[in-house]
Amino acid sequence: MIGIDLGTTNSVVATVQGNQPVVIKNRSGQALTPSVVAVTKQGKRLVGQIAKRQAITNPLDTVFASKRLIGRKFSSGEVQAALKVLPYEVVAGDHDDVRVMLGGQKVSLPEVSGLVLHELKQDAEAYYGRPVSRAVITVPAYFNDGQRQATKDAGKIAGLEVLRIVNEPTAAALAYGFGKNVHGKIAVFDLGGGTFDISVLEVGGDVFDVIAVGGDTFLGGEDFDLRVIDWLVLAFAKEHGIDLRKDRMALQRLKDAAERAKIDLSGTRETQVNLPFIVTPPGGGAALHLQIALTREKLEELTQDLVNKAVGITETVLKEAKVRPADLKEIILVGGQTRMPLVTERVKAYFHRDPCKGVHPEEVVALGAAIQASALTAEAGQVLLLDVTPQSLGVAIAGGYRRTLISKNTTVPTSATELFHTSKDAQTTVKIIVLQGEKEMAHQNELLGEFVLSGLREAPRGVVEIEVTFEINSEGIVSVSARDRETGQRQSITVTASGALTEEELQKILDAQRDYMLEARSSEVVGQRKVEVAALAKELKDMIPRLRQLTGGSEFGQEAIGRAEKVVSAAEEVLAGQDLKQLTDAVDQLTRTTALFRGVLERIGAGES
Amino acid sequence: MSVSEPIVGLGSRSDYLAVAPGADLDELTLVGDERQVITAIGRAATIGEIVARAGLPEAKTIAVLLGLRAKNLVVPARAAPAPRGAVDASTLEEVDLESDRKAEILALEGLIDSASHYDILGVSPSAGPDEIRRAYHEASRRFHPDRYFQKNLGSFRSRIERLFRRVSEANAALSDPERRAAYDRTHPELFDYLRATPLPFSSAPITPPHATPAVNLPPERVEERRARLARHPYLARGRRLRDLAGEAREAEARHDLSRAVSLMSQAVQLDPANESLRKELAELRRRHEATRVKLELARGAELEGRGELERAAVQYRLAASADPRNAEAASKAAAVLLKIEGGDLKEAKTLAQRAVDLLPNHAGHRVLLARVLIGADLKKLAKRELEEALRLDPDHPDVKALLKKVK
Repeated sequence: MIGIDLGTTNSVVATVQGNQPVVIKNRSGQALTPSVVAVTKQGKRLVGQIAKRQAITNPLDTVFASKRLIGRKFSSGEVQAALKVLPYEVVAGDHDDVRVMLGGQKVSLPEVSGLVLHELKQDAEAYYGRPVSRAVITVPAYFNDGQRQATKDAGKIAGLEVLRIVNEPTAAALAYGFGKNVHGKIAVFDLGGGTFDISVLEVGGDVFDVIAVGGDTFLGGEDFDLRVIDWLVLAFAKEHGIDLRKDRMALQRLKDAAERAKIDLSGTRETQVNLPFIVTPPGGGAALHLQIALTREKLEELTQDLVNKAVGITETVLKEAKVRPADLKEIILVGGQTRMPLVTERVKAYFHRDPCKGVHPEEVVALGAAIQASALTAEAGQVLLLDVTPQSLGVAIAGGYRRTLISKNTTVPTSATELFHTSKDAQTTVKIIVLQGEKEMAHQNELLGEFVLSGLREAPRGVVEIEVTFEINSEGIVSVSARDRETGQRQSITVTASGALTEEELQKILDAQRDYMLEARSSEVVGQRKVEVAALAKELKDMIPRLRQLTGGSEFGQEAIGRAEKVVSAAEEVLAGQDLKQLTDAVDQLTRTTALFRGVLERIGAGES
Repeated sequence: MSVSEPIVGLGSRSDYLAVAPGADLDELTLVGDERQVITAIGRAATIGEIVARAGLPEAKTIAVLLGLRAKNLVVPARAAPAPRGAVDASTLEEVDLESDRKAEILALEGLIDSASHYDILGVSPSAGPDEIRRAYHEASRRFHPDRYFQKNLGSFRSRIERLFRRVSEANAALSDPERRAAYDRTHPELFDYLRATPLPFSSAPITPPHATPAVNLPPERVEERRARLARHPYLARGRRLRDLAGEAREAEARHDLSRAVSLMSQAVQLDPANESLRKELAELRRRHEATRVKLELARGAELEGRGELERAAVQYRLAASADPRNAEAASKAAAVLLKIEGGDLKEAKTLAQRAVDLLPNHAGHRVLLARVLIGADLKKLAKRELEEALRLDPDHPDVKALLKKVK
């Protein structure tokens, strides 16, 4: 079992070992794996640090920050805004979903995230030396249904059994309070690469009870980088009259430099941005350089409003939860962007206290995910999460308004039932528009989907009453069911206008993925298994002479030796082939037999001496 | 090993085993996989079931079972009698739940609609916000679906979900002061008991929200309803559990540890699956034992000083048996037994030996053991101890004299 923090910029995988959560380093020895996926000119897929490193020379086929696009609709404001600043190409899918161009192919976002997850899965497998399939994956608390669904799909595509989608700040709180017997209210201020979440929890020892959450899924470190990029572009344009954004490679280098400068300024007061030969002037001539100093004051001025926004959301959430800053026992900072001194200062000023220093802002979420994975599967769960739904769930009603069915901050799992009537005589279908959000007007909220109830019995208007039940499960994922109130008959529901992958699309991806995985498997795992089989077979074989000597000609001895020989020869046969299943079975068989004989030998041996 | 073959020392696979009645699993130090196997037994199960459930290799499970059987922690049992008479069919449903928990869920489910927010959480309408929050967490520990993740619950899955939803709804309504006030206003009958039975000593007077007399129930009905709910085994249980745990903590604050232990163990008996209470109990017990041992040692020393050796011996022995790892208690007990004319030398020897085993590098304990051995006329052994003591502490005043004695 593993826990994965699938981040906008970086991802982390962790597990629980001997009751302690630990981060699993990737195969290059790093805790953080950049959430970057690329396809090289030769068509090779790259994931993580290696993909990030070649981004500058391969800007078109390097996808980063895909989490900002996952589960969104192409027509949404966020995606349209992102289009303008991303060096890689983003296109519309068949049903207003988002695709990116990668190696000349349209790739869905769950596939992109799936590649990152698969990489982390392999890191975990390398760590354990055996296959890993069950995982808890975290998402920002403020992610809506579509974004959660898409993340779950990504897990499936990576070949993971996603036990649970857990909110990042909740996971962070869990890692903070695990084994500490904390009692009281705490706040988690999570400013990550792409998203901002603020959560308030009441911790009662082993119970982590979320009282309120708020956030913005488009506010994070990437936005801070963009401010720096804008400033660099502007400075360069002033000097040379050239817009660097037009050049994809320049844009990628700017992004890289902006991120680095921002990180530098968390430790120093001033840093140099140095990008030689950034562009060749359109009219020809010598290549131009970008060389400029950036101070911490300037960075703070450029990004002040972003920090204000996060603190503003925090204020609102606390007010709504009727919690005063003084009621809080601890403030936990999560996410790389909270390393920025301005952020820490503002948080400190608002809460009137120093934030907790005991947690690692970039690793704590993955650790929490691992704890939850182990709590769910353990016989006696050690911790219990009581999470909430971040946004209200409602339906569109006459006049273009919205009616709330389940209000935000309701503890999940939960459900609500609503009665719908036909409005015309002999009406046989009803369309229900399900929304997520807090706005009064229906269209201003996120459209979760349109559900069409069909095959209603024909009757005068208002006679047919349809009971529709909306459920939100522990992962914040919504499902809808309906039945005719009078006949009790279940009604079929069709979901349309959803940004998520359709069933067929997902199946197609999974099929294609399976082939790819099998290929990867056959080389790695088969080799590994063969080594195991050979070692075990040798051990068993070596036992036979001793067994013969000790048991002599007894009937039991004869039979046991015969069995051992059979197992060994079967294993040798399997070793000649390539069949993974047979190899795995052989390992089992050998392990069992060897263990049995070892026991017998010890007992007899002890009896003799 | 074929399925039908009996397992030597245990019996056939269809035979039942049970955890020995009276075995307090908290008291025992279980090693390795023992706890896992005991969990697999539950109350009682057939050997076949235990092997299948334990999640260990079969041979390992059998070995552990044999060990437990040898320690008499596991005993043969007969099959649980089948429930007789008319039973709700759902109690017979084969699911991964203990029958107690099943009965509790069924009983509470029947109350979902009729019980008030307070009743369902098992708190009184005068409960403060912290108490409500604690009651809600306690109920969540029992009814949150995550507690039954990937288990086979059959129809109980939806029952538990409904129950949890009801509990969290009650908490949501009562944890927001405005919503709680509104709820109280629309349910004035909840507060009628204040009029019916005035609180004996109400430090903080509770003002019932302005009641609407129209929906008021007659006081005797209200009283009857409250009494009925208070008797309800499961609703009352939650409240009783918190009362016991609360009183235990108060007793602990007063340093009355023996009372704290007794109250907390009652609480644990009420809800044996409650991990956090069990931990609290274990900690209380540990501290209680520690203070008890200290007290008994002090009392023993006092008695010994007054020359009441017999009584001092009793105190020291009590201390030594309360904390078998306490070398001081063991050696004091042994020393006093040796002093008593015609004292039990056999026991003195055991105790002195224990002190030596616990602190092998303590010369004084070895000398004591040697004296006891001399008293029992085991000079050879005494000599060995004395030589060892001499090596540990060449300047020990008595060693040389004693060595002469054994030569």
